[in-house]
Amino acid sequence: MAIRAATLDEYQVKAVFLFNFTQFVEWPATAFADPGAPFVIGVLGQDPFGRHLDQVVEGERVNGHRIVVRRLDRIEDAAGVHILYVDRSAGPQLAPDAVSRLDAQSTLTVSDADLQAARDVVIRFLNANNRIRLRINVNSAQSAKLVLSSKLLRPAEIVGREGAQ
Amino acid sequence: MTAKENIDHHPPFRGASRATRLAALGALVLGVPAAHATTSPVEALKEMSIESLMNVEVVSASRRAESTQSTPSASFVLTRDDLLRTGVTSIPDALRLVPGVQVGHVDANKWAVSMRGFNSREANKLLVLVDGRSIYDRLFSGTLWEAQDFLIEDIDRIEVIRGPGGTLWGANAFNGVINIVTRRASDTQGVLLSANAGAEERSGSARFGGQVGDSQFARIYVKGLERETGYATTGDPYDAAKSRRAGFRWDGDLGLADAFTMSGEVSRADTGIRETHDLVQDIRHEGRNVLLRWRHTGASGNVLQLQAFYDYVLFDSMGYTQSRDTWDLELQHHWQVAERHALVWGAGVRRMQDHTRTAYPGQIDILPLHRTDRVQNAFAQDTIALLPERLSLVLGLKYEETDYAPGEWLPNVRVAWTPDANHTLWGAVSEATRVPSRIESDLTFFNAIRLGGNFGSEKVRAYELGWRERVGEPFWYDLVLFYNDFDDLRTSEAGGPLGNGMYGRGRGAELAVRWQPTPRLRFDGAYTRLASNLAIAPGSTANRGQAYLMEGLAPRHQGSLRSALDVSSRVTLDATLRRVGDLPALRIPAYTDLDVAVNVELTRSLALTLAGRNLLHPHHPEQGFANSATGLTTEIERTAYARLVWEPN
Repeated sequence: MAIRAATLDEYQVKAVFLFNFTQFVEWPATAFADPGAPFVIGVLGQDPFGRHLDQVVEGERVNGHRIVVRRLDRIEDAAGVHILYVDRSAGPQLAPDAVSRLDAQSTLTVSDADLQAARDVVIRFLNANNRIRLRINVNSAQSAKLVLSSKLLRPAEIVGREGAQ
Repeated sequence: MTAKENIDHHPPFRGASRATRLAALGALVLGVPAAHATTSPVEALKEMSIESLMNVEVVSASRRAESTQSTPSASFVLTRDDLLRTGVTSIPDALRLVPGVQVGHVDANKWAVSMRGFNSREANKLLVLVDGRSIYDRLFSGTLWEAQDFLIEDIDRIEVIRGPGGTLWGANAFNGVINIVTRRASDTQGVLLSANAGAEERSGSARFGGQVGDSQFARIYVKGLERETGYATTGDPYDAAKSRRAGFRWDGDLGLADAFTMSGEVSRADTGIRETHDLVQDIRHEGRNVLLRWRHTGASGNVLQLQAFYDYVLFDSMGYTQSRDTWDLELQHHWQVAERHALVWGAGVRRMQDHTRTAYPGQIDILPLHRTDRVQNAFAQDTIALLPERLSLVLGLKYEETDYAPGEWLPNVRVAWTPDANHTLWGAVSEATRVPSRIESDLTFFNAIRLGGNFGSEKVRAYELGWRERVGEPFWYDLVLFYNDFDDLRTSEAGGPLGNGMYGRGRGAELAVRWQPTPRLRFDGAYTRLASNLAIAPGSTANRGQAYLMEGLAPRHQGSLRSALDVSSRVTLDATLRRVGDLPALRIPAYTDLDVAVNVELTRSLALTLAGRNLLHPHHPEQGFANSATGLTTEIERTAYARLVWEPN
């Protein structure tokens, strides 16, 4: 019977999800400038992860690329970012197509914000009954030339662009 | 409205291959000593499959951020961890840990619990809910704590919101709301046996939880409790009590979007009371209830919730007896209407049917003897992000209609400014009412004189200002200032009839401080200052003494300091020092007292709690009956007890 309780933050678990994406998504070779280039996870807007994200990816590699986390103020700084998490706070400043334009550089865009600008993100976190669900936009994934593993797709809710459903 | 809550993993992880990560996850979410875990919590999470990760229950960050940072209300959450560590055996004792809550034993089985004044056994300005079901008693107006009991181990948290909560919670949420939330059935799987024995109290409980279907979990429980008498300066205290109850909770997910909860309980409590030195009796309380809640989470995170409950209570004493059936139906919809507008709206209906009987029919009655009442309400509250993440405005309004009062509007306006993640300044103006109880409304003498014929709702307009700051990681404080403008408070007019002849103001400050110098040591401090100034309105024939009595029901100063220490990974030590000011109107002196509890995890499945309460005095009074005709106060005694909890897994 355990009497002490630690607090497990939603964003601790979401940080682990982001790490999982690095394992279950394949990026085209063009997404890396050179074999020694790092794998970059970007956080746009106010960072909700705190230390969690850095702790989760510490010492981890994606196909030999070490993982680095970058905090970004503007989406224009997202060049070379492989996973971009778009925080709610980034929403108002974003152009409506700013997120989908990142498909061109094979960025896996992720958000939990119900923002107009973030409607085409590849993966959306949903909260249902205090649990985290994934909604994957397969059209966005395709357009970004990302290959998603069935392990990721199977438990997720799948939608197409223009938010079918 | 929650600040901090325990996170418990959703259990359906099966298979030996996951033993390691489960152990680590256990360490992470349940705080099982790290010695049992072979990998770190983060590693454990990383090793889990996507499906399993989706089953991990998390604290919604928005809920948490709102509560610890930017909630524009005076709220506090007592976690399960707090309850278990401090070894409390009742909800009122647990509430002593909450800043701004006034708690006093009236006798050994009865408590007075209130906030911001007006405390008594019949404290009628506080609304209490258990898993969404109101336990506010319509016969007296107030909560009969002696009829309530819980398996402390299966409580998830107690949310306390001070100040009017009329817009969301309805009439009678006059000075605050207490929400007791039990754990999900999926978090209470397996067997739990708990036994508590001490000088003043003995109890035993058993719970069994199991999986009953795909994504469906249930638990059943029983509990029995006996309380010894308190201390009486003269005569027999006659305030022993016993209670027993059995209940269940069943939670299930229906696909990704829908979830339901069903719960129910039957209970009986027999509570002794000394009405006068010559008249003692056992009051019998019976309860039966069942609740069903369905929750649909829409594609965009909007939540639609429908809840229905049935509740039966019986209050049986020599003087009078009442049984009451309540049917309640509530709808609530959380709807992100636009990017900057988070709307919650809802509606509810309640039907109450009661039967009353008195010991002196024809002389004193509650007329009509059978009464059917309805309450209906509708509300909407919009949270507007004026500046996203910085400045928000809450506008809410409820309309509530009862058979005891004409339609009432219960508005609130709140503003929160959060310049950064560590600071919040908030302010609120809100209004609430307290509706006449069945007795106030219908007590009739000689079939002719109805005391409450002209008595209407009591009213408050509250102004609140709050400041919350986190200073670095270890230090946090929360300061709330309030000003209550009361009108139409209850008076006994000359000759006996009830009137709304009192008005006045209540001012105060509530400070909560938390300092955690090391991960193993935490201090929680609280200080509450209260100043009530009440007066009899021109035109009222009530005497001034009534205002003096109402002013004096709660202490003007109250403070506490709690330390929570993890002595080792298996032993915790908690001590709480409390100072409560005097109650001049009730001639109750100020007191300082100390509660201490040690928890020892003997084995992975067996925990022992040793606790001492009220250690500084052999006995002392805490609170009197506001009306000496209701009963005679006894004093609370120094006590020690041991609790063993066995939860094999």
